[in-house]
This record gives sequence, C-alpha cells and structure tokens, in this order.
Amino acid sequence: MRVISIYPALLRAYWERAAAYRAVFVVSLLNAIFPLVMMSIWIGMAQDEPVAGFTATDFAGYYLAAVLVRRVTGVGIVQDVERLVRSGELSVYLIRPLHVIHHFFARVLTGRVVVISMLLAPIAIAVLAIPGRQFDLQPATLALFGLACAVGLLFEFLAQFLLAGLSFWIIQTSGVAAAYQFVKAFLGGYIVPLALFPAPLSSALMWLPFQSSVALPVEILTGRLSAEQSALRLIVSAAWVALIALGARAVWRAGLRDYGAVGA
Amino acid sequence: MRKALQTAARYAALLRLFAQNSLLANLEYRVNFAGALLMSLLDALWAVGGALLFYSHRATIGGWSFHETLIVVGLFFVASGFLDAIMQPNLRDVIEAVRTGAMDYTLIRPVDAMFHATLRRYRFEKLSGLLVGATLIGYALFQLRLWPGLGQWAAFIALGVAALALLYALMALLIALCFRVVDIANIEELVFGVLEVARFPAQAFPEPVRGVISLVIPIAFVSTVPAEALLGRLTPALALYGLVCAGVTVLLSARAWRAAVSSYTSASS
Repeated sequence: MRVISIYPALLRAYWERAAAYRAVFVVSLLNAIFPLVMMSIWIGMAQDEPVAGFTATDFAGYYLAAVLVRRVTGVGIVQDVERLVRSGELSVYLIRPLHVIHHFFARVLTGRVVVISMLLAPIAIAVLAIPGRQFDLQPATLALFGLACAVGLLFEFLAQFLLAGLSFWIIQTSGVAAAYQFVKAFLGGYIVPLALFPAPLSSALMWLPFQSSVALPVEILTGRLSAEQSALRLIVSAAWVALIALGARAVWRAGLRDYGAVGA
Repeated sequence: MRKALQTAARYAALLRLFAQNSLLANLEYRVNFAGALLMSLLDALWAVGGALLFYSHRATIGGWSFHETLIVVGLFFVASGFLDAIMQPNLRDVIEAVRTGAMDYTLIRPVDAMFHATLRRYRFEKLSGLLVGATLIGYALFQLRLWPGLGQWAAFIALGVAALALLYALMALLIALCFRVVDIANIEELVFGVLEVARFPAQAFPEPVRGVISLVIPIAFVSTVPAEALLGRLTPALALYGLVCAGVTVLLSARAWRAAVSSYTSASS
C-alpha cells in the first residue's frame, strides 16, 4: 500500500525529466518508418482488389493504429538497466526503500504521455484525410481497446525487465534485447497484420505472447474481432503477463544475489 | 599532376593505416563478429520472410518477381552494412569530439579534416551485412538462371559505387551538421530510417511515394537502380540522373564541411 502513496510523487519527478528531454522522443518516432514502408506496399497491392480481405483503407487504418499502439505499449529499458548494472550505479537504487522496478515503471509511464501527445495530431489528420471508416469508435470497443493496451504495456514492460535482468550475468544484453525486438515486431503484428500470414501460422501466433502488445489492441480498435475473440485473446495475454512476471521476479532475485558491484 | 598523384598515394596509405588500426581493435572483441553475423542473418530472415508474405498474395509486385526483389533486398543489406561499418562509428566519434573539444586535434593535423573525421574508424564486424547481401544477390541470380553480361556488371558496379558515394555524402552532411547543433542524439537513425525504404523495389510503392523516392530523395538509387542494371532493364536517363545526384551530393557535403570547419569555434577558444 505504501507503494501506491509514493507513486504520485514518483510520477511527477519522472514527468519533469521526460518533458525536459522531449527531443529524444522524436527520434523514437523514426521507428515507425519500417511499418509505414510495409503499409505503402500493401496499399499498392490492394489498389486493384483486396489482399486477403484487406482493402487499401483497411491497411491504412491498421498501420496507423499500429504506429500509435506501439508508442503506447512499447518499452525500451534494457540498455539503461544494463548500464546501471555494469557501472555499479544500480547500488544507489538498491539502498532506496522502493524496489528499482518502480523507478523504471514510473519513467516508462511518463515517457508515454510525451510521445503520445506528439503523435495524436498527425494520426488524427491522417485518419480524416484517408477516405472510409478505419476505426470502431463505440464506447465498448474503446474500453476494450484501453484494457488491451494496459495488458500489452504490462507484458512489454515485464518482458523487458526480465531481459534486462540478464545483465547480471552477460555483457551483451542489449544485443539479446535487439534480437527480441526484431522477433516481436514481426510476429506481433507491428510489421505485418497477423491475418496475412499463412493460415496455420497466423492461428498459432494468436497463442503466442507477442500478439498482446500490438496486434490485439490494433485488431480491437479496427473492429476486426468479435467480443468472444477479444475476450479469449485478452485472457491468453493476461496469462502470459502472469508467467513473465514470475519469471522476471525469479531472474531479478537470483541476479541481485549474484550482483557484486562496488558498494553492494 | 605528379603532386595530385602523390597526394592520392598518401591518402591511400592513410586509409590503409586507419583500416589496420580498426581491424586490430575489432579483433580484440572476436565474439562481436559472431554476434553481428547472427543479427544480420536474423535481419535477412525477416526481410526475406516479409517479401515471401507479399508474394504469397501476388505473383508480381510493381512488375518485380520474388527473386528479382531478392536482389533489391540484398543491395539494401550491402548499403546498410556499409553505413553500419564505416559511417556510424565515425559519426559517433565526431559528435563526441565536438562536444568535448577533442575535434581540435583532428583539425590541426596536416590532413583534410573531412577525410580524417569521416573515414577514421571502422567496425569490420558489421560488414556481415555485405556478406549476407552478396549471398542473397547470388542466390537470386542463380534462381533466375540469369548470367548478366559484362556491360550489365559494369553498369551495376558503377551505379553501386555511386550509391555508396551518395550514402557517404549524406552521412558526411549529417556529421557536418553536428558542428552547429551539438546535442543531436541518435541523428544517424534518420539516415537508417530513410534507408528502410530501400528494402523493396521503388515500383512496388504506390504514387506519390514512388515519385518521391526516385526523384526527390533519391533513395531508389541505393537498391532499385543497381538491381535494374543487373537485370538489364535500366533506363539510361534514370541512371544518369542517379550519377548526377551522387556527384552533386558529394560536392555539397565537401562544401558543407569546409563551411562547418571554418565557422567552428572549438570548446577551448
């Protein structure tokens, strides 16, 4: 309970930091170029006839939502944790009464607000400029979308935290993290909508954890899922979140036991 | 004439020395070679996988068959390997040197500042991109049962070199920018981001994107145009335009460097 009472102050502190260094976040938007390249090619292909049920408008809607959702749920903390562990700065966080995970979570949450506020205007313009209806904006869908985003963010954060915990034993954790990002971007619906994979593969991908951070929220927002499908996939995602949380806890416990920096 | 030759020989010797130095430093971390190769292979797997996905829905895209597109993908890997291995480490060094004032040590040397600052350090392990790219191109040609003639190879190599020169000049322009705006975090991401467009043939994009990447920001010259040269369906006008673009950008970057250096007030003065 004490943790909750500390959060407002923690968030305020990290918010000021995020607002001060906002130029850094502009660079993170460049990450959206690859999916937009894919979008252009799909749109080119769909001009004559739909590709596997996707019209050009569908592609535009899907990728716009994917770029937005990626900024909502995407997390990149591995490099920072790695630096803290290698330089020994982590010790400073360890002697504080609050677990180090809360510092990172507060930072991730506040960074989100800065990026999303930058993205909303361009996406709104694009949505209005492209003819046709791309998003399902009923209150029930939006609520489900919000829930899916929250689960996706939790999954992303915990998965990154788990990976970052590997820095207690290996030096090239950021390399591992880069490989993970790659796999996740491709199999998680950021680069290609999952429905466009060959049939057996696309139904298998629904059961993997990668779908929770981008594919699920996007498919909900673009109105491609029935209520039952959304519920089932949300449950699958939540189960993965629980599993990853346990894994992250085990890794960090073992890691902190082995951690031998100056002053630890 | 003799003097020009002497200068060229001196710069070539310097270049060899820089490469040797970097290689020795790289060899200290041998595992990095395996790591970089692994990353390139993974990247290639996705690039080919992405292309396979497109082609599982259509037989040709923008007039390009799957194996023809693989040549473009291969050239993309060559270009990004070149940027990773040569331009990125130097860009990093210049940003750091301008910030700390260590740039002075480069400027007082009796060598051209642009040459020294942009070609000083290499990361040879990142050349894995070149290896992967060349393999893809070879595989595609084999599958196409295509044996390009001498003229086609010559055009391919000339345009490929021009493409690398274009990329070099773009990066050098960015590096020159670092003298004015010191705190540009990750500015090289801009070039890498734009380069993503070169992953696929320019004709696969719908207008107006296609026009932009073939004429305004000539990123199509990095992969699409050399691939067309190899396939023997190059339009001479477009090739000429690419060569001119590369030449103009190189000249522009040299001028930008002269301007940046002459207006540079070091951290100590």
